[in-house]
Amino acid sequence: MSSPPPDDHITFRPTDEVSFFLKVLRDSELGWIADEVELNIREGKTAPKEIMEMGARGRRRTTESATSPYDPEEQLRILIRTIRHYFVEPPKLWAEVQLQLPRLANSPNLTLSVVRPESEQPEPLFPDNLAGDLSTLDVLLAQAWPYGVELYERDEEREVK
Amino acid sequence: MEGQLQTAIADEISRLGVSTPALMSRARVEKLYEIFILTCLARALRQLGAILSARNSSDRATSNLVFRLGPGLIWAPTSAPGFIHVAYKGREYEIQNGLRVLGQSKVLHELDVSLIDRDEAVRCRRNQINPTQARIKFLAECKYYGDSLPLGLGREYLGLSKEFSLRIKTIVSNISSDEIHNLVTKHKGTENFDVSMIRPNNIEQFVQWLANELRQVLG
Repeated sequence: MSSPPPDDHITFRPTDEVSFFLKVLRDSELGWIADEVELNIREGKTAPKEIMEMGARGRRRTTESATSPYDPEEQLRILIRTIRHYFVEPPKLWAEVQLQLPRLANSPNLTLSVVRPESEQPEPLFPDNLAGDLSTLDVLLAQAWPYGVELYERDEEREVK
Repeated sequence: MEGQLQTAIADEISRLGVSTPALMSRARVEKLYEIFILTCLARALRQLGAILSARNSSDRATSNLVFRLGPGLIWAPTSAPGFIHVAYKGREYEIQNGLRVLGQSKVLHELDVSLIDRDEAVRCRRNQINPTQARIKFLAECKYYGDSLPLGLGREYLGLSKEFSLRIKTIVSNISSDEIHNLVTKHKGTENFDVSMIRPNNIEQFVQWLANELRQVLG
C-alpha cells in the first residue's frame, strides 16, 4: 500500500525526475522514504542572505535568512543520498554489529536478533542473497551521483576549490 | 540522468523494496542504527579494559542477545530487551537499548542507548520500578535519516537533555545538520554527526571520544 504524498501547502515542488522515483518508492511500499525525500525538497533550503536596505543614514548591508528551492542537481543529490542511506548502508551496519558484538562480549557464538515488543520471534531483516543486489544498486547510484563517482564514494558534493 | 540508468535504479528499488523486511518502516532502520551506536559504546568500554557479557531481559547469561522494536521497562522481561553487562574497575554497569527512565520531572523518557549503574538496574528489576536519571552514566539519542535532519529533532534532544543532568550525553546521527549543531552547541550540548559506515574515520573518532569521556566519569 502506498502512502499519500505529504501536504501540498509547502512552497517548492520536486522535479519530474525525482517525482518518477517517488512513485517507484510508493509503489514498492516504501512511502515513508518517498515522504522524507518529498518533504525535504518541498521545504527548500534556508541560508543566510545579504540584503541592502535604505535606513535613516543611507544604504546599509544586513544579513537575513532566506528560503529558496533546491535546484534539480540538489534534488537529485537528496534522492540518491537518501536511497543510499536506506538501501545500501543498513546491511553494512548490521554486518558490523554482528561482527563486533560477539567479539566484544567474549562470546563467539553470540547471535543477535530484533523482535517486536512482547514477542520472542526474531524479525527477518535482510534476505540471504542481498550483497550482490546491493552492490549493483550501489554502482548505479554512484553513476547517478551528480558530482561524480569519486565523490559518491566519500558521500561528498562538489570539490571545494 | 539518462533513461537507461533511471530504469535500472527503479528496477533495483522495486526488487529490493519487496525483499528487504528491514525497509518496511523507519523504526527498523533506526533500531539497527541504535544497535550500531550501542556497539560503539561497547567498543569504547572494551578499549578502557572493561569486561563485557551478554544478558537476557531476565538478567541471565545468554547466547542470543535480543533487541526490541519499541521502548521497554527494565522490570518487565517481555518488554525489555537484552543488555550488555559491564565490569570495570571493580564496579558494574549495564549497556541498555530503548530503556524507559525517569527524568528530573519524574516523567518517563525512552533512551536509545544508555549506560546505567548495575545496582540501580538490579534494584529496579527486583522492585518492579523504573530507573532514575541520577543513575544514568551515559545517554545517546540516535537519529538515522536519508539526507537531512528535521530541526524538531534538535529541539526534542534539548528537552531530553534538560531532564538528564549527567555529563556524557549526545545526539548521534549518520548525517549532519548545521542548524541542529548550532542549536545544541548554543545550549552547551554535544552532537556527534556523520557517524556512519561511509565515514570510518568518524566512527573511530566517536569511539575515542566515548572512551575519553567514560574514563573521566567512571574513574
